[in-house]
This record gives sequence, structure tokens and C-alpha cells, in this order.
Amino acid sequence: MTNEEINQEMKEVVIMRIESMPSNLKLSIGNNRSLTKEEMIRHVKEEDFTGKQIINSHISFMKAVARGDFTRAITSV
Amino acid sequence: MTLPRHDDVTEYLSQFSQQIEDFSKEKGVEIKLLKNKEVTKANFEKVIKSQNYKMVFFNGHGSEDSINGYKETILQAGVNDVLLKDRIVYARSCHAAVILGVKCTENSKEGCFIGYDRPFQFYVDTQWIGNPLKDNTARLFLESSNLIPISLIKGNSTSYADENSKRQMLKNIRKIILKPDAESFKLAEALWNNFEGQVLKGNPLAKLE
Repeated sequence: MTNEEINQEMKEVVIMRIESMPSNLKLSIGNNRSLTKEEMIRHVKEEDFTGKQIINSHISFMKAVARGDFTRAITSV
Repeated sequence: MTLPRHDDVTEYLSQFSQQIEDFSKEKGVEIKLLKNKEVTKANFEKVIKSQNYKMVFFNGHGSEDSINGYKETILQAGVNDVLLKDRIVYARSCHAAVILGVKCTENSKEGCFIGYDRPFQFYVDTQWIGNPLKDNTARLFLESSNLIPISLIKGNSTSYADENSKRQMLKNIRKIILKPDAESFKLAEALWNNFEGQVLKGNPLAKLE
């Protein structure tokens, strides 16, 4: 995963994806207690360290899906 | 094995580590537990220096060059990483493979460090936050990572342990994306993060025996 420059479009896509998350889930990421989706969205909007980690994770996943890496991997087991 | 419990994340990591403790006992493998407030730098160093454990398993928050215990840094690159030279290390901590993993295994033919070059992620279901072991969402993440120490205790190599854990992550992903739930792809995405980010530094053939 590369820490490429984060642009507004990326942030909006990530926020849309987080908004679709069920409210009963919380994410453990980084040196925080686990985060609600509202807290995740706030971090993404502020583009702080945690927000960048969340954005990079989403972008990395979407790229893996687009490249076919994701499908190849899950059909290999 | 370090088991600090000072927030919901470390509580989950510690509770799901019970599986490893139980398996060690079943196999007759001696294991030293540092729990809660015991997980200090001083205690960690004392145990490592006085007892020649071949494997060290860290649970806790981390950074590229450090791992935390109970609210304090217990291992830091350039400070006390030399204590892990020639040992097998699994760090269930964010980012620690980036610098710490390299430092722990440089100049060592025997040592191996399995960790993450990005944040280790897992989702929890808030319904079970007071009773983590009933949380089947967190189980998808934490039991697949437990396979690293469990595979090693079984006598397998570090590369097998790493691959076995990753294989289980992929199986978990495949299982969950077949369910038409709103959460499926969120969970798959976080598991994929751990799959891609789990790295092995050092000796891929290291074993406990």
C-alpha cells in the first residue's frame, strides 16, 4: 500500500462506503479505542493520521478488487 | 505473551489470546503470561533476560518502531530490540514490522518477526463488547491471527505459520462475502488489509523445536 496523495474525491468515496456500515460495528485501527462509524467519518474528514489510515485501507482494497488480486486470492483457497 | 488490558481493543486481543494459552498448556509448552499492569518495560525485560523463551507474542498498540504494553512502550527499535535477537516474534500490533521487525531480525540468522506493515484492523459487534468471546465478528479476525502462534506451537515453521494464518483470512473473506449483509464487504476489506499487511521478516524456516 502506498501513501499516495489523498484527494477530495477519495475522501467522499470512503465516507460513502463508511456510511453504509451497520451501526452495530466498530472498527479497531491504530492506537485508538474502537471507532464508531461517526468517529471514522470524522477522522476521514479531518484527514488526520487515523483518517489517512482508513482512507488508505479503503483505496487499497478497491484497487485489489479492480486489479483482480482480491478475486484471485479468495478463489485460491 | 503480553496481555495488556486498558481499552476495548486490548481487552479483545487479550481475551482472544486465551485460545493460545489453552493450546500451549494442552501441548505441554511452557508459556509465561504478562497480564494487565504487569506489562511494563521493566517486567518485559526482566522476563526476557532471565528466561530463554524462544518465542515472544505481543498483543498491544504499536507504531513502526515500537510496541506498547500497559500504557507504556515496552519495546523500541534502537533501545531494547536486541533482546529479541534470534527469537521468533509475533506482534499483533499496528505497523511494527516496518522498522521494529527489521531491527529485530537484522544480523540474525535464526530470528524471525511476523507482524504488520500497516494498521492491524478488526471489527467488533457492539452487542458483545462486554463479552468479547461471544463476538463472532471479531472472531473472524482474531482467531485467524491466533493461527500464527498455534501453528508454531504445533512445530511448524514461521513461513508455514504466516501462510496458514493468511489462508484462514482468505477463507473467512470468502465465507462472509457470500452473505448478502451490509457488513460483508466492510469485514472483507479489513481482513484484506490484514492479509496484505502481514509480513514475515527474517528466517522463514525458524521453528520452536
